[in-house]
Amino acid sequence: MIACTGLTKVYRTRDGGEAGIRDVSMEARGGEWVLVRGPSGCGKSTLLLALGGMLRPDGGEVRLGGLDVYGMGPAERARLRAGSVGFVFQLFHLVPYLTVRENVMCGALDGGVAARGRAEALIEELGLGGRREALPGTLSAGEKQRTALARALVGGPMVLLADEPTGNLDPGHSRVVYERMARFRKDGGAVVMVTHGADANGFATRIVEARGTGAPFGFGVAANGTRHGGGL
Amino acid sequence: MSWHGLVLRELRHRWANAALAVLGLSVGVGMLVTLQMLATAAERETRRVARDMGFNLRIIPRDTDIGRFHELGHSDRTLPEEASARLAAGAGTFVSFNHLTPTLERWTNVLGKDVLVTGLGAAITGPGEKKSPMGFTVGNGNVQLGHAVARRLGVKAGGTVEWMGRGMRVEKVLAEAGTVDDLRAYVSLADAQSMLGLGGRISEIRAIDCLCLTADKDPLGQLREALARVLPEAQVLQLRVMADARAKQRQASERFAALATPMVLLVAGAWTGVLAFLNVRERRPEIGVWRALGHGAGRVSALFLGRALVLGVAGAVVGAVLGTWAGLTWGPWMYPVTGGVIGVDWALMARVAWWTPAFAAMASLVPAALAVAQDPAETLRTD
Repeated sequence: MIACTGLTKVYRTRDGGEAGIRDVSMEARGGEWVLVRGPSGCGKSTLLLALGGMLRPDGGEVRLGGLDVYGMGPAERARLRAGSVGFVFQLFHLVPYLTVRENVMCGALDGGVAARGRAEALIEELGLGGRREALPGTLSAGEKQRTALARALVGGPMVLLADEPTGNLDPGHSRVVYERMARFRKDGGAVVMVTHGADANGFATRIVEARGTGAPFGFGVAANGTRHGGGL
Repeated sequence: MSWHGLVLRELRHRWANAALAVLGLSVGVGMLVTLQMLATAAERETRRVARDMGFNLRIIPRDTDIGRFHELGHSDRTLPEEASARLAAGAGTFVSFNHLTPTLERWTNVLGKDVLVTGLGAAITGPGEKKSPMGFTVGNGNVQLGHAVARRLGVKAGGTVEWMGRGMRVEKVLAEAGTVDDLRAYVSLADAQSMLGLGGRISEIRAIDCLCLTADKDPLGQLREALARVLPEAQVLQLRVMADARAKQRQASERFAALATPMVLLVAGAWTGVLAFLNVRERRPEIGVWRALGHGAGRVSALFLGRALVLGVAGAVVGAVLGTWAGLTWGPWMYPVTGGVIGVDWALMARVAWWTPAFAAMASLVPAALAVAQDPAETLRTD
């Protein structure tokens, strides 16, 4: 469903070192939840954004549903992203001036009746029914992340890319989010989630350790500039 | 949600930034509207004041001896009366001259006193001009007397005077001028021609210089060239000090507007641009999310340029109202002679309504381009 081969993206950090990923290859099929675990700064977010067509790599290839993501133009890639990929971020990134319902609808480019129906169903399913007209500024962290998850799912994506989705949530709220992501997986979707914690281990079908300096199977470029090869 | 709905919602959410942008645009538009109104009022006032100062061009017969002219204060030769109509009909005349007034002047003796009889014909103004002719006219059978003449003759306004075999009604006694005007007796051109036995003749055409060029631009050379084409039997003399003062006053107000306008545009543009840039910076994560959700560069640009257009419309409305109010309030105070006719300039309002949103969009062009060009991954990456 989504795969990368020899993916490399290196960039300079403010302290003069290098960060990013080098020569990473991985795959997530439909019905799979791949959990990428690693310490902060090892390039997890970079990997996720490159997989989602948001960050052109220095080298390597990303394929989504068999299509070469970076072999197409920006407009075509944006359309592919809108129809096939859902993003969930640690910091939620909700549009602050739109209500819960409107934020969820942002994930559906067509905005038609069917999308509205899916949005309403997700809002109810994620326990946001009573908050659908609330603005993000009035929501709890858990409500914000459930809204972000609904936004990621409303377009009916093939792949869900999650970057520390429960990093700001308590265990109770984290469980609600994970359960909905597990249902997405069971329905045939592919989940790639990056995290530095272990609380999602029970939901993952495969766990990949991404390590920094000295890790035998790690990837990434350490902040001090020492480079590490290898793949997932 | 439609893009304009998103624009309006964002404006409401970040109302402080929006309010500051509208404030900047309103102040800019208001200043421009006020400046424009006051510049127009200044020009009107200048014209009126210059008109009240009197004619600054004297078109006299070419064969006039200049020494004799200055000795008498008028030409001792004449032109046919139709010369003024012929000059008025000439191509391009009103580019150089205006308020053509046929005049006949001669020194006479009335009851043993020297009097400068001045017959005034109807002034001719440029085609389509609304402004009223400068100077004044005197009805047939009436006379307006200079201060010294009235005193010497012992007559007052409303009285009659037996003059050159005719009974004339004293229409007005003019205020003391301290010049030769105190020795004048203004009558109609027809009466002057009849009294002086010069039917169908005039001694000069008085006029105002329309070029409004200062002396260094050689206005007299241009005026002479224009006159020679239409009325070769005449020559033109310019009362240079008066004409120069008028030109300088008019140019001063034009220069003020020419200097102030770009400064106001620059400040308002910079203000709007900086606020748009701050708005883009504050919305970096939002832009990243829009791109992550598959929204293209066009939609992101539309959000920022649409925002600028809405702010521009609001700035135009508020600025036009404030500027007009200031113009209507200060105009009559600054220009007391003609201030009463200052009104709402609807053509200016139409230009403001069109240009302000376009100006706001142009000032926001660079920030909008930055919003589109920025790498969304930079704002979304957390590692």
